[in-house]
Amino acid sequence: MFCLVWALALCDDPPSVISFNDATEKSQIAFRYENGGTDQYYLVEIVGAGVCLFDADGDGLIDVYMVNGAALPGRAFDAPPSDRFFLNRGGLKFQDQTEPSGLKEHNYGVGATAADFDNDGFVDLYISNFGPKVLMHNNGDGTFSDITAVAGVADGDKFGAGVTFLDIDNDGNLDLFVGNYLDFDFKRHDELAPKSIPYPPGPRDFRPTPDSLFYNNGDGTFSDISDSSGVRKAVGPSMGVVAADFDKDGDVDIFVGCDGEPNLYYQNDGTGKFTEEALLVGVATDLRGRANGSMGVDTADINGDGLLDLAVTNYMDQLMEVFRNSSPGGFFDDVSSSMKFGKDVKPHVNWGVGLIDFDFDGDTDAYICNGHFLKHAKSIEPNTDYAVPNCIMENLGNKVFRNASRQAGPALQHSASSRGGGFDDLDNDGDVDVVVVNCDTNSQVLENTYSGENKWLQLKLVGRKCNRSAVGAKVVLSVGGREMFLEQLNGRGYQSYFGSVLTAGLGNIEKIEKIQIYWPNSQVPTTLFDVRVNQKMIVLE
Amino acid sequence: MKKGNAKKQLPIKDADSIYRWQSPFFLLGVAVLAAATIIGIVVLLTPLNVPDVEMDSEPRLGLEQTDPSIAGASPFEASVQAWWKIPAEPEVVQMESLKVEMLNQAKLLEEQYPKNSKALDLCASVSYDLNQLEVADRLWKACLALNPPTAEYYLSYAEFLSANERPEEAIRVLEGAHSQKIETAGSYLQLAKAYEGNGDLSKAAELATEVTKRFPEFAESWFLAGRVLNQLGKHADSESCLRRAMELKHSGLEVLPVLISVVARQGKRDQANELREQLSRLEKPVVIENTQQQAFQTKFENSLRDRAARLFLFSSTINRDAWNISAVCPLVQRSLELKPYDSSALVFLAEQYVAENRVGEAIEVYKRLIDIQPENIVHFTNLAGLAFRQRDLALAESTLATGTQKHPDNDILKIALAKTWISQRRPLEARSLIKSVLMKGQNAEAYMVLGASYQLTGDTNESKAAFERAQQLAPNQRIPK
Repeated sequence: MFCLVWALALCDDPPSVISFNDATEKSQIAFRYENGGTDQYYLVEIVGAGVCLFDADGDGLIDVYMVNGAALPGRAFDAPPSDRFFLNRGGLKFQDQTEPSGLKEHNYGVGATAADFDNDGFVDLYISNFGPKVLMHNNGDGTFSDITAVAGVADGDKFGAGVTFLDIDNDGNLDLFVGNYLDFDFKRHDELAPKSIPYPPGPRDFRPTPDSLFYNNGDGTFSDISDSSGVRKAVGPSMGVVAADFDKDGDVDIFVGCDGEPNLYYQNDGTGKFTEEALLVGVATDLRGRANGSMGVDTADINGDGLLDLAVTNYMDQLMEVFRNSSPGGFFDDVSSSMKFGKDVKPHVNWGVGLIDFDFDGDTDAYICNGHFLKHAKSIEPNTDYAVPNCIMENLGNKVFRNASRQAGPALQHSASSRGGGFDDLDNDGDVDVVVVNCDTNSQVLENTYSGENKWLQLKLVGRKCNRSAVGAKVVLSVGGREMFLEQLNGRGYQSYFGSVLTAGLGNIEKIEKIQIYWPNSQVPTTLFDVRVNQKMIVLE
Repeated sequence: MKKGNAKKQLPIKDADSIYRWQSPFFLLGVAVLAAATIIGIVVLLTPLNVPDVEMDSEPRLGLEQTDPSIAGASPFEASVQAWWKIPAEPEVVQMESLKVEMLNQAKLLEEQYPKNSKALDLCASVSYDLNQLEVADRLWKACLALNPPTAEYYLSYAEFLSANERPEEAIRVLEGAHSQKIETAGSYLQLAKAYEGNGDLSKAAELATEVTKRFPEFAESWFLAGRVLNQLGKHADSESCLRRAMELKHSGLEVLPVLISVVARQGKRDQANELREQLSRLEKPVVIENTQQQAFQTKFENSLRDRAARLFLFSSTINRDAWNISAVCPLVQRSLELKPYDSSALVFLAEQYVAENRVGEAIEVYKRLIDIQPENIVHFTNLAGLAFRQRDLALAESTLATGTQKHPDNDILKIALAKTWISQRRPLEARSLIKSVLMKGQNAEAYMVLGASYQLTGDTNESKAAFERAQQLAPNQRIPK
């Protein structure tokens, strides 16, 4: 009956080939995010968590690590919540391997990322917490070991946020950038709370905490170079983090979304020294010079000009930003209004974001996670609610997006208070599926049910001279007379990680004329000619 | 938007000011204050009704007789009700119940005045403020369906549409208004913004630039032109516009982030960094250190309180215009319960009390006005005038004496006080005070009071001379026989 109503409701909308099926039950991922609070609306219980999608056992299937909260003051659990690790057994079925893997993490998690930081062939896991962070070494036998203390990456007891591995000096070792949110204090919250009704104390009521940068010494340890690298010269309440070579000068830069303050953009001078230049390059604020409540961030070449653009989710009534990278020098313009990008999610609080070509038509669509943090939000903000549907924005290819959620199937009508989102091909059918972290309800697994004629290609890059996860590698596809650009990213979205396998939608073509892969520390690309479509390739450096 | 339209002479001179003034609440405040000022000055500059030497026992003075809103029979029936007391403190509001009250008021207003574009615009604005977007949309459509000649209603709806990412509709609304010659600099600027939101950057730039040419003091138009030109890659032109916006005192917090990037794009990194320093000096501390200070949530509450107070005040003006007199005072009173020190509402209430012949209550309002705006002499003269009307000479005298102490150089108050003494048959005090006025310069009104003082002491020649001097200075001045 619901499907019928839904089908009738979308009669007015133009058709879309993007469609999803709710595969949560089928996947056997039974995970309910626990914020550990008592509805005091401490900031830590509001912000939720990201999700980490990575191939932990090297079987070519993407596994799922769900970050979880922990008990906050006034709350106790008989069985304390922990992060959960779900191993992909194929056919979109997962098995809870939290205990056997040693990934039963009881800290208050907010985000995570994964990469093979020690180049031993197995993907390791770094978890961002409200409190000390944790580095879990992948032992290659299905288990992980906590090596945080030895590695030196606990980062004190800061309120963490998005994190990403990156190679700041292209030496082949992955360094670690750690976003930090703010100096949250329960006592201060309790002092402010009675005055702040109906809203709880917010990000402007606490001092932001500087981000951290850890240099990989190549011997299993890291050095804190936050000061010497220049990262600590700037500060903001960081949330989502994404690193890429935005200005195409051969080194990795870092973009950090900040909650209610100007965003941060750390520009790399090529030696691992950074200068914060968000205002200069045009990504600190929106088009009108306003600093919004930035949450999730992602990057992709949205308009097909070979440059990585940025998408930033925002607080309610703030239009999501799409920063179009307008020159190789790395200057950006906020074009969200003219692209009609975030119009339909503007009433909501937006969190997770993924820039993904869901329908293989050769341009980047977007998935946006929504949900207010107040359970009674509707009574205060009638145009939104705690639980609202997430949104698919379909790129129409003419620099304009449209909301394709209604056409994408009943699974997209599900209302929840979502936070992080992860996007990868979970069932190895070529298209990109979705994992969403929800507050107070089960997380969702959405199976992409694309059945059109468009072609695709997946590339799993393996570095040998560069870092083994090939983070920072760039790919140029020559397809039907045009070039498509991809970059191997690490941490992204809302304090999440996904996309260890690059997926390109190719439209209706029969072959790829040329693929060029530029490894981070090499001038000579790996070049492939006349590549067959609809295949998953593993390319070694 | 056709090019020709943009080049039409827009019907204002100071576009920046007019744009800011387009708030109906601001206009209301200006209108009320202007009216009160005129009344006060008229009261004091009207001829003195010189008492006969054989004066009857009831004092009479020009002050009380010349207030046009007081003179003659009131057009309204005096209300028989207990006095409403002006609160000393703002009402503690429950946000949710206040919102409900506001929505109910808007609903009532819509029901009462479904064909009143001013009422519909107000209801739409309130609905929008309270996030009732569909209701706001419906109300503005209904408002504009009445084809009101008021540009601000079209502008409000267009702003609503643009804010809700509906720029195409905003463009239609504004172009429709402009085709009917309903236009302001603000409406042209909003149209340019709608083009910008719709991705028509060339049109946006053309129109924004046109507005800057016609209204060069309009900071907002320079900011818009600057940021659109930046998007078009015309960085040098953009920089000029943004710098002009800064010169015109546009908020640097908004302009500087754009300007910094525009300067950096031209390779002028040192300048960009200097501007960045400038911005960092402007930015407020991120964290509110003192927990007793307002957090943003408190501001949220205050903002709602302001909006509610304005709603009730403006509702009262609509009812007054529609001669629904019984509703007027309660609505202003409700506004003042939320903001007891809002001078616009107080002046409006005082006027309304006077119009309803509720002089005693009006007196209480003017006392509050004098407390909060002692610099405004009109409140002193109006209170004194009402005191006379109540035959409360002691209050009139003390009011004017206080006013004179606070404004020792103000002749109007001195003359009024002298008149009061004349009415009280205290000619010597009046003469002494008025001579101090005349030492500073010739003043017909002062000579009239001087003449009256001599008349009271039986100095006929001096009296006659003073009256004649008054008539010389003001030939239309009536003098006693």
